[in-house]
Amino acid sequence: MTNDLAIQPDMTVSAVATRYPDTVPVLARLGIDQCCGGSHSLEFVARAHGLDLTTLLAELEAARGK
Amino acid sequence: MTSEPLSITPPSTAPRPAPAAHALPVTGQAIPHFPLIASHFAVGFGWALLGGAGLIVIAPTLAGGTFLDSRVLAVTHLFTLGCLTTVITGVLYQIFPAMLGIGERSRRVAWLSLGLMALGTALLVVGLLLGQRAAQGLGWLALFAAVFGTAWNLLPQRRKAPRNHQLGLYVSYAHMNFGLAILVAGVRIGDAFGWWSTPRLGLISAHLHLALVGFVTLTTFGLGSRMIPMFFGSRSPIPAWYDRAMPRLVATGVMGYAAGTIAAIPLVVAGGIAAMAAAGVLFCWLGLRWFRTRARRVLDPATAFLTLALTSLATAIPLGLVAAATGLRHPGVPLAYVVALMLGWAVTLMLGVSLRVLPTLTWQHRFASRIGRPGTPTMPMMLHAGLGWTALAAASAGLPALVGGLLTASPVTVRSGAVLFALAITATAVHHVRMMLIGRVRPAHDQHPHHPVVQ
Repeated sequence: MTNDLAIQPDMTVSAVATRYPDTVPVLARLGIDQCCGGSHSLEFVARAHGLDLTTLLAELEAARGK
Repeated sequence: MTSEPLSITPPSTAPRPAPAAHALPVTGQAIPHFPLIASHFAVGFGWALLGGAGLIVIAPTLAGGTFLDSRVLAVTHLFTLGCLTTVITGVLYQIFPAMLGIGERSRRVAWLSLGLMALGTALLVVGLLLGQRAAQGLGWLALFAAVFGTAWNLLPQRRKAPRNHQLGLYVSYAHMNFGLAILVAGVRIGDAFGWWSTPRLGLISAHLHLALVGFVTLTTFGLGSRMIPMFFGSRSPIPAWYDRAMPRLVATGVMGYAAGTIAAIPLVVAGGIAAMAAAGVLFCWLGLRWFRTRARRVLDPATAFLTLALTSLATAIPLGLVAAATGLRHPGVPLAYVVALMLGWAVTLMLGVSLRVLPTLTWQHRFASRIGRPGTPTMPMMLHAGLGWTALAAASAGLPALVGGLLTASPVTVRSGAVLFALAITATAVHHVRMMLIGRVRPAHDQHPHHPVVQ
């Protein structure tokens, strides 16, 4: 389902924020930052924050494509 | 053109090999050690709670403009040494592995330094309160050993760091200033023993600025220039020249001020003050840019604390300039300046950073390995918004009362401000204690049914 998207669940928060800076506001709004958990994958972070992974990826993709 | 982007290494929860028997603990590895970091925060908060209580006691003395009172000096050291220095050291043990990619040289030395710092602070504070010069001297020795231990443990690692070298530069300059502050304090204690005679006010002012501006503020300008925009979700870049200019500007300013004050050379003092003020204005300007470009439009308690800290820093700069111009004719002005800088900027920033960093680190340490199991709390559940907002409200009301009360020499207002600021520290400390108890008070299978759990 997500194979054709640029942002994949196994990408780390730091990698996403560095490669796609437009996603930083989305991450910040959700309380996800690179200070202490940037090395975690999006899948891990979604579970940690109790977020729906599909929704998170969709929001990040939307921000990336702006 | 911007400075290099942050890069982060594996979290504290990653498994690590056990150290060989009788060998020094695993050294130089880029894995933050949560118990070490958390212990620094715990000790720092303990001193901050004592400092808050002491602030209430000394409020009338402060309002009267008496700043050389032994109790005032003791409470000041509770905040500067006990709280700020300990917490900053703990943050460095997180930042070095996480951002520079290299850990401390020896974990044993890190623990030893923490113990010596606590012992030294206790001896110094008791020595000041009781007028015991021997206790002050022993405290000074313990503090010297603690700072030397931390410097030995971290500073050489900067050169080996694979990234973010500029952050290490702030830490090196800041520790150089801290070393000078301790040296000046030693000279002052030697004076008390009758070994020599020195200008008391000049030494105390130089010591205060070397410690509070040269060490605490410079370190926070370095770490804060990464943490604050990250927490705001700001995309405003940090100018590349900032990292080259800021450590040198602050170090030059504070050393010029210290040397000029001790040697009574007004022109050198003025140059030092101008450099320190310029550094403060520069950081406030960056802070305003981060705030305006923040993605997190609605502030949470942590980012609201950061905003309050930046506002306090912007308040401290003109107060400091007025204090320099008026001298001791109006002692409330220099006192208000120190309160705005020490409590309003540094301690408030520490409270805000702790509300963001500690919940994340605690969750990673305690629950990351349980992710996916029923009953495991989510990371947002570590936060208690009510306690965070209570702390923020108390600090927001307490700081103006403290500063205003000092400027108007009103004991009632100063004491009200002290009570409110102590409440802010207490509420934040209670927040963190509650956080540590999550999952301990009730077993995982007995979580509240309405709490969301990770599936």
